[in-house]
Amino acid sequence: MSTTDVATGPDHPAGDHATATPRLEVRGLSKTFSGVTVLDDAHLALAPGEIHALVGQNGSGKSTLIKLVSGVHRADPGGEILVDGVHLGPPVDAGRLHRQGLAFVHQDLGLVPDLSVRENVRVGLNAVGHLSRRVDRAADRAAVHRTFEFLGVPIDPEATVASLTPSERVAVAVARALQEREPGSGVIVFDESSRAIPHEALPAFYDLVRFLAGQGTAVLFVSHDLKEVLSLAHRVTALRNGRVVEAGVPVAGLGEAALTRLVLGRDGAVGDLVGRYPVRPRTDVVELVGVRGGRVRDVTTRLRSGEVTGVTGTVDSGILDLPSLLGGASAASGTIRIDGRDLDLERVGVPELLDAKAVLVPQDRHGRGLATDLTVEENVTIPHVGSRARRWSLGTGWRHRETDAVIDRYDVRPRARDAVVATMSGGNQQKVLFGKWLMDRPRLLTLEEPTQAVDVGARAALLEATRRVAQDGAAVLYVSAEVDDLAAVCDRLLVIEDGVLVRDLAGPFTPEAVLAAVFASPTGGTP
Amino acid sequence: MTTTTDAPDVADREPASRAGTTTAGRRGGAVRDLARRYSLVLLWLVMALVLFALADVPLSNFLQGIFARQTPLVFLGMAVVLTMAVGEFDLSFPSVYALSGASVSSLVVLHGWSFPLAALAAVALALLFGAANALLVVRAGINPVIVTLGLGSLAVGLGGWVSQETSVSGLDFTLSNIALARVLGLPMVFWYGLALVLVFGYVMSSTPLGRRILFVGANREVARLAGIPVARVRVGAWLTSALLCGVAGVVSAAGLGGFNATSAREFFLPAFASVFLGTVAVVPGRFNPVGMFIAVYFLVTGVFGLQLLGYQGWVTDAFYGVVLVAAVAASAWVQRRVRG
Repeated sequence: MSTTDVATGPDHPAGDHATATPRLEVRGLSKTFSGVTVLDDAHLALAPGEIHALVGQNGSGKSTLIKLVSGVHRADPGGEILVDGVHLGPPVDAGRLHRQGLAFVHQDLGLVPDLSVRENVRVGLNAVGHLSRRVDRAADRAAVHRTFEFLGVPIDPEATVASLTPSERVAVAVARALQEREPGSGVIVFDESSRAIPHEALPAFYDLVRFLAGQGTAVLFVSHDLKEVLSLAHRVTALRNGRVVEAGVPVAGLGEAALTRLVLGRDGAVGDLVGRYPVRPRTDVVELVGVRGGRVRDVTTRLRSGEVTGVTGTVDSGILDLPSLLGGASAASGTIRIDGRDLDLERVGVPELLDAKAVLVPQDRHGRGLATDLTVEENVTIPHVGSRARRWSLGTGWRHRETDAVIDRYDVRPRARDAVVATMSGGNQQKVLFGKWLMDRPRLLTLEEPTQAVDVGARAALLEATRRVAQDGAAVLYVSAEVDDLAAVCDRLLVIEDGVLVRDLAGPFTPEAVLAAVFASPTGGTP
Repeated sequence: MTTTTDAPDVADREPASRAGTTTAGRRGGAVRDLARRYSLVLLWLVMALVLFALADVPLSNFLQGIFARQTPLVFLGMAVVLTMAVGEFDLSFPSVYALSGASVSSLVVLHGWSFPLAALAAVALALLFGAANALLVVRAGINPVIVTLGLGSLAVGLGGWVSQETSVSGLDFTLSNIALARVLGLPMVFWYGLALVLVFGYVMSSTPLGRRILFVGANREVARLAGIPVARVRVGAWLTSALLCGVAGVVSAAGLGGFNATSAREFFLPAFASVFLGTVAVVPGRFNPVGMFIAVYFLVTGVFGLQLLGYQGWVTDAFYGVVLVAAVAASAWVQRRVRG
């Protein structure tokens, strides 16, 4: 079996393996869905002991490639997938992948919270008695124990997964992927796994990934987070519009800007958004008075229209609860005052909030943001159906105009009103969600982690949209833990600690300044 | 309307690739779309032709046998479409229909009520069951399968009680005009069904109310956050569905001159089969009235054709069962196609 030349990058870490057969090799894989080619002649080669990143925008063909390798989709005829030089497919038999040396850790980790660690790890591979076919728990426990020992993580096999910390859950998912494998063999694919892990647990996760590669396992690391790719990966393969544009480029020679260009095909820096979309001074304000609910104990502040006000804090500070309170999504008390109109959060429902143009763009796109089985047009127009349509007729003109405006303004792909949202990439879904709520000139716009799980291209578009909606007169509350985003869009920053506002800072900000504001010692009072 | 970004340095748009192919592909797509929407009609025509060729009866008799059939299926199918469209599940509809039919006949024949009064009482009773379903499912949050299974059994029991466990007959035969008077050669029942389907089809596809129903069925939380009164829409669906079952019972009783409460169960399977079969037609992937209407006559044609060929009784059950499973499988396949 021949090796491709890309498998032997100059700075390859595992020099002694450099001439070996690739652990995983993909040659000429293509995939066509009803006449549209979504992946065209993709190739990829992972050397033993290598951490190889796969990057690309939403819709670039990245997830299609992973799904072809994992047997979810069947590739078009012609390509080939090899593991350690042995032909694997297509077609790939998903049920046999584990024995063939290929393991996957998916985004959601695929664990059942109510079952024990042992049950989660051993599912499908249970040790069973010869005659009774009873699950041999002791043997399972021992096997799980061996795997954790190898990984160097002390986790009780009998603990329920629900009781574990997020980083321990990742270890459980990894243990499941690696068990009964000769140490250092095979390939493990992390498909956006780091998204399931909170910030503070990431270093431990990275250590685990490096440890696996150090043993000789090849790691394919799929990620949107370019900083993560830069710090972790040895080489990177980039996809764009369904094609591999760069295969196996050594990461050592790349900076974030170069990597962004690789992903986008152009410069993706958001630049000076605040400078480009400056605050247009207005006199009107939106007031939050004594807002409480969940972990939020008291949020009282005046938000100036035309400004983007960031709200941040640690995960347990209450920032996760605040957006739902302001959008009527969960029970709250306190008052929102818009144009002299008092909205008592205990009494009013979503319709009254929307009537006062207090709008929430929720983080949970599938659960709360969009009806993904319905079309772009239906999703974009639903908030306005009551006000624009006549009682007994929806009318077509306004729906087409508004939907086209959203598609144009946010560059939604595909450019089709009747595209079903579920068929679109995450970044494009998020653009549709923005369009749904931003077209109606909101007065108070609460954005909840708006750039989560979108690629750099969509991120730039969403941050720009945030500045523009403020210029159009909205008081924007940008609730996020992403320091880069907060620094890029905010005119002002509020920090929540233990459910109350503790700091109120004026911009402009650098990411470092935002981070320092979050972790500064408590000032002991509300500004 | 084209809004362009007013910041030239963020001209982050790739050239619209494949622009040429989309327009060319669209025409082929339109044909495919049409084929997808109306393949059930085509299948129906083929089946009708085959059965007609085999059956050796005059065409007019064949058509009369299909379209002049006295069936409450369209009413009941519409009731099921409504509850399914808002994401509910109703097993009680045939029982509520039976209770209404049994009540109207018994009140007139056994208790001497006037027909209009008895009809009102029967429909009110049906609405009461709709309200009870709504209360338990929407307000109390109990699993709709359990609620409607239980209340359905209660309705059947009540139906047996009011009709004194007999098949009540003896309604004034002039009342049968309500159901059977002919217009353009077809009985009123057919025209009621057609009107019902057209009205509900319009409401569901082309009015703000229809959009609200669509979103409540698709994702309740998304609907709620868009300001839609989710509970009200769900309760409305339960009540309207019960109203349709009640009216269907009255119309059936009038047409038949009486009612046999135990016969109602036979509509259970064909109603579900038509509703699911209807999701592969007209608006693929969605519960829709016109698709359901086509599916009802697809089923009626099949059963009638088989009867003409001498297959009766058990064949009907087998046919409905096979069509239900095939319809659900086909609709799952369409769903996957729609979602890509």
